[in-house]
Amino acid sequence: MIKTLFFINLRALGSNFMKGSGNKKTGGGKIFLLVLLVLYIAAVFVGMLAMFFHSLLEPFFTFGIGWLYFALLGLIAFGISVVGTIFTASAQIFAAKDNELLLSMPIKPSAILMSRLLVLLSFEYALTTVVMLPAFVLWLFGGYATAAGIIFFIMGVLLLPLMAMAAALLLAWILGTVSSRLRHKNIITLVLAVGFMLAYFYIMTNIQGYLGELVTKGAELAEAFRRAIPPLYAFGQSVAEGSAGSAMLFILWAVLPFAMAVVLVSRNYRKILITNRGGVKTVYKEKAVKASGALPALIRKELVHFWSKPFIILNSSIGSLFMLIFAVMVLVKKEAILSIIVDVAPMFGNLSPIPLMAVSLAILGVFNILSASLISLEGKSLWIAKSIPVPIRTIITSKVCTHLIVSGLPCLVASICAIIAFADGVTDCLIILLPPQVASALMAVCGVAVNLNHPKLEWTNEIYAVKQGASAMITMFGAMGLVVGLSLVYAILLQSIVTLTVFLWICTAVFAVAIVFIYSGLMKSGVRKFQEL
Amino acid sequence: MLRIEHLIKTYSGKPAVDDLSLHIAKGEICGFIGHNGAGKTTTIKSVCGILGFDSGEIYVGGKSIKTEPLECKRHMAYIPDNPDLYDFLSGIKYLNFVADVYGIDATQRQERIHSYADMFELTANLAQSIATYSHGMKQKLALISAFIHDPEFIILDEPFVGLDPKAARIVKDLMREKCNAGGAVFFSTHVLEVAEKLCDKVAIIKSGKLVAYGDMDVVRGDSSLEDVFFELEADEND
Repeated sequence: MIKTLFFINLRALGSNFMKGSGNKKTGGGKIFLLVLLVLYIAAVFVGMLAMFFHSLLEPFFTFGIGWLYFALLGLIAFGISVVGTIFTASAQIFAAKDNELLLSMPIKPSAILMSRLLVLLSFEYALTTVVMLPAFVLWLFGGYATAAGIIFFIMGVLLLPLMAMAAALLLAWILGTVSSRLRHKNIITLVLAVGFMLAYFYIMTNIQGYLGELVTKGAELAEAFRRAIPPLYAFGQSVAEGSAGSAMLFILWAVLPFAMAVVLVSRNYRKILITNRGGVKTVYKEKAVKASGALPALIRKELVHFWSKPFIILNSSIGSLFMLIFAVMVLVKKEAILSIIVDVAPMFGNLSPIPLMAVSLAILGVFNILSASLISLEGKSLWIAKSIPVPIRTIITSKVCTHLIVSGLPCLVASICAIIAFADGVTDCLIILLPPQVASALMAVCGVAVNLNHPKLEWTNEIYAVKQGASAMITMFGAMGLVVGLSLVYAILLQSIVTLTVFLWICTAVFAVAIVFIYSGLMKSGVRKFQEL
Repeated sequence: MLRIEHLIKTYSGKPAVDDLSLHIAKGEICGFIGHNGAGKTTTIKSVCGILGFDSGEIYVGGKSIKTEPLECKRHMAYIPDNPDLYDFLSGIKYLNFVADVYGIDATQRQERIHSYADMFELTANLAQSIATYSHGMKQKLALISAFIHDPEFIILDEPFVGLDPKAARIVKDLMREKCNAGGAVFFSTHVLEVAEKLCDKVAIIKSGKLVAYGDMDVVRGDSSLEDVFFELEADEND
């Protein structure tokens, strides 16, 4: 039974990833694109990790704290696995749409749970392998590897996902249980997720400093690490020293919590699924209603949708959150930012802070890909948009406007703060204000255009429309490609000819023309595409 | 009110609706009957402008759904068989959204929301998110949203599925009231007794083709609608 359910879940996951609108078969081109995308992400991941561990290998093994190399590797693999699985675990295990159907069948709840866990574990194994492979190769060819170490490393790859799974399972359960009892669970989930993400980025941006400390105060920190995270210490010891005792200890650390978590959740799985529903009941009290036009009503509807789903905010509008953080930072940490710019500027040919502010904001705007999923998010409710007496042009415009509000408003706030902190004259104000707004507008029209061509209307959970749609992927990587491409063009070809400010204005003008062109395309062929959905 | 002329709709070359023509005048309720997959929903979606069609014409209030879709939609309301509404909105926000889209002023919408929500006993739940609604409650909300802009023509796909007996009775009464006031109703159903009692006209579709159509008394003759339906079914199999 577990095998059957496992393959059904795997197929569902695959079809969620591959399926677009209607019952069209997935084309070879799309598969090729997805494979390319996965390879690209893996290559970036592997490259980053290889550089990081390359800088650690030599000093750690020279100072005799080789175990810390693997303990850190384990920590990173564990962290990435937990972060990568927690929201999926929540959606797949506790909030899966077919839970009720399966519970009504003569299937043991533990079998349902195990089948879902196995799917998530497969994902974690893939993730852990990608994370751990570069460090392993470096160690293997660095001359520090032993036969026992290799065996214990492979064992680690097999066992670390169990540890991560146990943590993700419990965190997802706690998150689900707590949030179902809260009135403002969307806000709380969002705050928790953002807090978590900020902590992650804080650690990642300060990693160089930590590395320095690790090398200089290696023994001290190693001791602290050993006391704080004994399972990873055991893992590090087993691989670096080839210690069988540590390996046994690590097996216990990995298997026991996983087994306990599975038993605990399995025993209560039915109860969790039954009690984890409903929310706080609000009784309607009649109030005076306000009338508005169709376009404001459509935009309001989109915004309510946006605010009601924290995962939409996190997966499609992270740039807006960072814009707000940017706004606070430029006011509070003005001096620190200036000193960073002074340090960084010479590397890029003495760039001045004003265009750098504008570029930063424009890049943050490019990280907002909300418009790329607004058509897909209509899902089964698309009949409403198609049956109301509103021109399709208005519906498409409402999607563009929604993106502009979500991305443009925080951008405006950030620009104003940057102007207060740094601007000197009208020219400075204009360059901080205009290019970032134009970049946001470009993302708005491009996202909708891509989504109309690659809609994903048949989803079981909205997260698939936002996170896994081809539209979101194309828009995100297209935007990143544009940023990288323009940076290279400027750095290699134009830096000696024009200043960054001039280049920024040229880009803004080109973007503005592109926006007009794409928007008019949306109003013609976009309308036809929408009709065909 | 509704005129369908030689409607043809195919999916991958296979006809889902094959040369279907019918006419519903003001003041008429027309039932649309057929087995699963016969082409009822395809016809209904084509009438509403949700689905394009290969050939033929559909006129709502004398206007073509092909050339003047917005005009047609302004005068009609559609309720699908499975009311997938905006789950993230509360009931009241959804009704306000629909009222905004149809341009209903604040006073009128307040009155109508009050009246219909009370009628369907949904008032207390209007502040709740639609995601928490049962199928029946969603169906009631969809019905309220259909009546909120006082359409001349209402088209419903299986409207009684999921409704409690009281709500089903209210819907039937509202349909009759709408026709008495000069409107028209076209609805699909599998409940032949309801169609027999409620409808002035009936259209029976089989494999995309209209196999019987006309005034209920004429189509039914001396037997019951159920007998006629099964006779047509048997004829086709022979």
